[in-house]
Amino acid sequence: MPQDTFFIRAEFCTGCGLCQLACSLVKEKEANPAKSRIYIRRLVMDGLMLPHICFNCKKPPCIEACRRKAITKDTETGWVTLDKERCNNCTLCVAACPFLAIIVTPEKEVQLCDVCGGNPKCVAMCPTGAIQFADRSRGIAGTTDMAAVDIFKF
Amino acid sequence: MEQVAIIDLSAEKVTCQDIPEEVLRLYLGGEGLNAYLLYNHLPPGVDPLSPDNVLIFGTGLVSGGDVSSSRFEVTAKSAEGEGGFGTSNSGGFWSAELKYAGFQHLVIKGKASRPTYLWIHDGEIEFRDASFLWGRDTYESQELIWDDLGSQQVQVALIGQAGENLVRFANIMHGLKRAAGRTGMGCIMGSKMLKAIAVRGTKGLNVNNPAQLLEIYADHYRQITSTKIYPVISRYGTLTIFCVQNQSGMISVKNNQYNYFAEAEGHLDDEIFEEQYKTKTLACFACPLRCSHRYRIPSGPYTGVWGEGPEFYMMAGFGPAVGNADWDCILAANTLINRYGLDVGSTSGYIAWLMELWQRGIIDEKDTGGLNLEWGNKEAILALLHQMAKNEGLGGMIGQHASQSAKIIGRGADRYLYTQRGMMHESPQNTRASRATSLAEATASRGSDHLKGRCALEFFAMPTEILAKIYGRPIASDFRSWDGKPWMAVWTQHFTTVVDSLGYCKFATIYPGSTHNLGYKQFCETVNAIKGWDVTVEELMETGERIWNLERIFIQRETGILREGDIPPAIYFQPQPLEPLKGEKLVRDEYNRALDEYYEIRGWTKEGAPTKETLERLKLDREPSHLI
Repeated sequence: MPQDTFFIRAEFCTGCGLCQLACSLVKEKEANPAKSRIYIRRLVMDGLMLPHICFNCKKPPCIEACRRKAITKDTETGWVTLDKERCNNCTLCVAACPFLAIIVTPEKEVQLCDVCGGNPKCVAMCPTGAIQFADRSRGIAGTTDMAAVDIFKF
Repeated sequence: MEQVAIIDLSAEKVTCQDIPEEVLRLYLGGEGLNAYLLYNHLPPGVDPLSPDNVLIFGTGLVSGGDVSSSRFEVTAKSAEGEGGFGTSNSGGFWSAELKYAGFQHLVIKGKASRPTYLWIHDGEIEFRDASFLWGRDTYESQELIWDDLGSQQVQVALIGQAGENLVRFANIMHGLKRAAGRTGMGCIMGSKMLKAIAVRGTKGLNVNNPAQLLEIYADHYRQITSTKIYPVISRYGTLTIFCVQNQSGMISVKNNQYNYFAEAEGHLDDEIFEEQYKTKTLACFACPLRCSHRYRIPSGPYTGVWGEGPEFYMMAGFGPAVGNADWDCILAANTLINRYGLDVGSTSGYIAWLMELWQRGIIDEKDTGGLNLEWGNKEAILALLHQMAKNEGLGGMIGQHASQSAKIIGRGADRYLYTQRGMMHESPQNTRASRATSLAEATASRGSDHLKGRCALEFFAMPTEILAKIYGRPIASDFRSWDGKPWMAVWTQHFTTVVDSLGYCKFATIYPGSTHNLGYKQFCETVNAIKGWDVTVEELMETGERIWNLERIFIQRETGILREGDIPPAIYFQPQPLEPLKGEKLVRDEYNRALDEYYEIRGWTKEGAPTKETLERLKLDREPSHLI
């Protein structure tokens, strides 16, 4: 079965945060990008907008880091989810994630994208296709780091 | 509950207050509530640059809650106009951020004893020393503030050197290009020794019905991204207007002497910008339109200059208006005015005026300090910019005195200065051929204001049935006809006022000419989902009218200039010299008749003052009511 995950094309990200607002409305029932499961690093002077979201890694470092076994990866869908019942917000997973994809809310709660059951609102509301949700065999997930390399292109 | 913070810079004291629901519903937010706060908090008759002037920042009512709604309005007694209503707004991220930090409005009073900046985060307001920022441009200052606060997530609205040096048309910048430009709000901020307002908010927005809001948000997103202008505006932004305006003979060339600029063909257009200069597309908060462009000049004398922008006004103001057809120069000027914090409309307008004075021999090298002000002289254009911001030489004099500088120069220089209510006529705009737009711009509160007055639907020769459906009254489809145009002007002014009070970007609304964009109905949906009200289209229209009338009685109170301020600059009554639209002009008698009709629709006297009945009908008869 094909496993869908996120693809980021940071060079297309305009930094608008439509995805963040949609995410907070879906997941938190409030308009608050600070609680969105997507984090956009805005390097304003460099004109670089870097969206960070869980890539549902094949071998997720966050699962290894978690001491309470709160994070699991579904073998069928490949999606990585966080069980908030077990989580004690210790943020070990946040430190372990190489993609800055695990969010700490202003209330110091750890939050992780759960792909909205396979139909993520953020993707539907991205006007430039900077965030896409597709079969992971189509490429390696995440070129955020590559976009960062481009800063030094000039 | 929405909050207003009243900030006294002299005493370094802050008082926070809930905005009473009744006031909120009558004035919404943004421009509307700013006007209310100004009318109530400003002592009548004060000097705009004195500590008694009140500088008000306001986010839109729905900022941070819907698509393309992150605009904030800055209002004070005008520094550039003749002490009238000063207001200007800007997009970016600042507005949503302030809303998420728990405030809808900031009322700033007094004057700081040393350079100060405000640090607002989640309901708290700190006064911080800004000595290390004073004298630095807006780009540097933003980086230094991020460094000072230890976060790049902070959004900053600030002034550059122009505001510090009290240039009458200094603006307030946010990010690299977003600016609250007109009426010299940066000058007022500088006079209060306030360098910047840095904001970070993580509290979010109180939403009455989040599920419904999500649906509306997605709907509006779909609506905006499926219009016909979306592909164009999201690619070129407002630059795309330039060729249309030029090729239809509706542009100001060489300080309004001509109406078509042949040199621009093949040099100045949006596609050349995209191919040769653009490096990145960026957007304001929650906006799919992404009309910001990052650019870098690849070759020539300005190699390596980078920045963000430019908009149509930059392109036309530093292009045809000053007789220049070189993109490099326009972009170099764009970076400079954004760094210094100067308003593009007035800056380019005054440069164009000086160049015409040079052309006519009214000023010479003795006046300019050796600068050669021939049309399109790039070095001179940039030199004047530096002078204005630093208050040196001829440019400095213009910056300090704005429209009053015509008196200082004398020798009949005022004949070629096109101002209205003391505001530089927005230089690149030449809309004398279109009647509703001329009327609506000229009668706008701050004077000569295309953002309130541009009746874009006028230009498309739409069938009268469609126009009647939109405006609710018969309107002629020919833009040169006066039939129904006073109503079109009134309707547009109310609409744009509601847009500015809610915080929407006008490009997401029907304002630029796409009837499928957001309109009153969509505004009601968002307001009701967020606030839990039962606002109707009619109520919003009346709110627009209320705000408009409040601004009018403010102008009446502060300046007493009513009817004579509602006349376009003299050049609008001269025939256009070039094709297309050769010979088009406004006729005084026709204009006066239209103005009479306009006043009648508004319920104003022949002199242009709101009548007692009108004020009562709009619940304005008890102002100032001092509820906040």
